[in-house]
Amino acid sequence: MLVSDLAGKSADDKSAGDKLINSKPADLVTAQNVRMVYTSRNAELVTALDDVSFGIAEGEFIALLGPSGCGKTTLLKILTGTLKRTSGEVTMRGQPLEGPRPDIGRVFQTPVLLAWRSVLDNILLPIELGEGRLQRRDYEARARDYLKMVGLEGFETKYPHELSGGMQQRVAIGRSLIRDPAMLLMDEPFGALDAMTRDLMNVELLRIWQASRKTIVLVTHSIAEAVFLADRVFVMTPRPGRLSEIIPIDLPRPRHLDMINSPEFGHYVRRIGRHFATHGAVA
Amino acid sequence: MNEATRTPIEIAQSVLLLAGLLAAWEFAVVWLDISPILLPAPSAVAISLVNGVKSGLLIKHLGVTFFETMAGFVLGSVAGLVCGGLIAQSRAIERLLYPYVIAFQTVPKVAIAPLIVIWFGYGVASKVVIAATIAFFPVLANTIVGLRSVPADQLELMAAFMATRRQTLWKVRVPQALPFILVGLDVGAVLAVIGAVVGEFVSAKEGLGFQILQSGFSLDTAGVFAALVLLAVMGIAIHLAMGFLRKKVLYWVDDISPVNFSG
Ligand SMILES: Nc1ncnc2c1ncn2[C@@H]1O[C@H](COP(=O)(O)OP(=O)(O)OP(=O)(O)O)[C@@H](O)[C@H]1O
Ligand SMILES: [Mg+2]
Repeated sequence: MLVSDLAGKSADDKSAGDKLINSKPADLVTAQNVRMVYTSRNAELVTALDDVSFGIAEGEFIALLGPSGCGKTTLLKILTGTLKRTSGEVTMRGQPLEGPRPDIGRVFQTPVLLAWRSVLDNILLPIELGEGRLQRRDYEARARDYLKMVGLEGFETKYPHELSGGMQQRVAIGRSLIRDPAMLLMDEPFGALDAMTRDLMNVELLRIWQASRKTIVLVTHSIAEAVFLADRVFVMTPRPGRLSEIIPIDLPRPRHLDMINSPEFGHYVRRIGRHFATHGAVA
Repeated sequence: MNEATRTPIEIAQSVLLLAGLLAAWEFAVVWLDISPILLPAPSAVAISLVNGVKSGLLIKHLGVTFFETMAGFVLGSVAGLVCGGLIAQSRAIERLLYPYVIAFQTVPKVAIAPLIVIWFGYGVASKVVIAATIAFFPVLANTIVGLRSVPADQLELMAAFMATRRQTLWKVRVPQALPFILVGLDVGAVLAVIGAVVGEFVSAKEGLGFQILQSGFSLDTAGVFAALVLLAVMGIAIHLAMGFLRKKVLYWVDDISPVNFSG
């Protein structure tokens, strides 16, 4: 149904893609045969990603699902531009991606807040780095809005060590949004949260996504979370990390938590679960 | 390190212990009839201390040693910070300089004190230089380690947000290094006291080290102890000041002292 479904699937992809570009908007991001080989300390080679190809349309919500160590973080680092791939092509808006860009926001697997900065100063860090100190004032109102949105109103002047792990990760989410990036890359953003808060944050994330039409790539271990959030689930298998299946989720939007109990939802969850079972990996 | 975490009862216990030891010392000297040249009673030390302070003599010597210590400390730590900053900037500079830094550190500074006195004269300057050379290394080493201690994920964060080298240095590396640097400064400050006194031992006309030698020569052991007491007080005061500075600067480090209700 989407251009991106075709990308990298067959040999005649290129021509198919070219034809489609005229009729449909091109993918925001594409990856072609991306391969990542790490050299570990004792000169051992670790293939973290092998032959990964996909396209992501503007405004799409992608869940990257796979067991621990299958290369999800590695792929996200490559898409952020902070890790140099061993081979393969990555493009954003038709241009090769050769380094970090201001229109990509990133949430890390851990909060990575700077301990000496207050919550507000942490959220405004990307502004300070990109736009300069003087521009801070213009973004302060927005920073406060995001704080409110992630349920941390009144915590502006607190320091990271005064927050719980989940609160810290919510600050990190505010920080990733502050420059209003076109694409948001989120590495298990709610992994540290309890199930209840996690559900609420997922609903909130869908609301932000629907309101801003950002493109989101979210890494998760949870099949249910992937199905609940995503337009398409990218299923990865380890050793070496491969994109083994792309599963479109045709559940209606906006999605509500009670959909989790619907038969369609259960169908998707079972299907993906079977996939992992047959590929010998447990998510 | 955590002077502030002590409860009033613990402090009272420490004071009582000191008082007990002093009392035992006093009685031992009287009962065993120990010669005041060998070991003066605490009361004799106290009298010597009060007289010295009253006459202004001890205060003058204290002032000289304090100045030498502080000037040497500032000089040595500024040099340590600058060199540490440079060495941490590039592996090439490190490879060039570090062998010499290590070689310099393995030479006991006390042993080169006479040389420094020959070069910088018998006055205050040579003591300042000796104190500086001793204070230099702990600051240098801690600055390098601190600037290099940045976790990889913070560097990735800065890279993802397209920070420049300079921004990464000032917004991440330096704050991350501060706890290390402050430990280096604390050690350096206390070592600077030793440097100043060693310099005075080699040759001087004033300072507490000079006073200790003078009192020793004239068999005024109580005078030696009085000067030692002032040196100890100075060292402790400097260490406490550094602890205070550490608390002020490292406001984000969470070591708030727990309130102990149970005693
Ligand atoms: N810097 C590195 N040097 C060497 N090997 C690495 C490095 N980073 C990751 N790897 C290896 O690459 C593989 C993929 O790692 P990655 O962090 O991408 O996994 P992941 O899917 O994010 O796992 P998790 O779900 O546990 O976070 C792992 O086998 C890991 O050991
Ligand atoms: Mg990971």
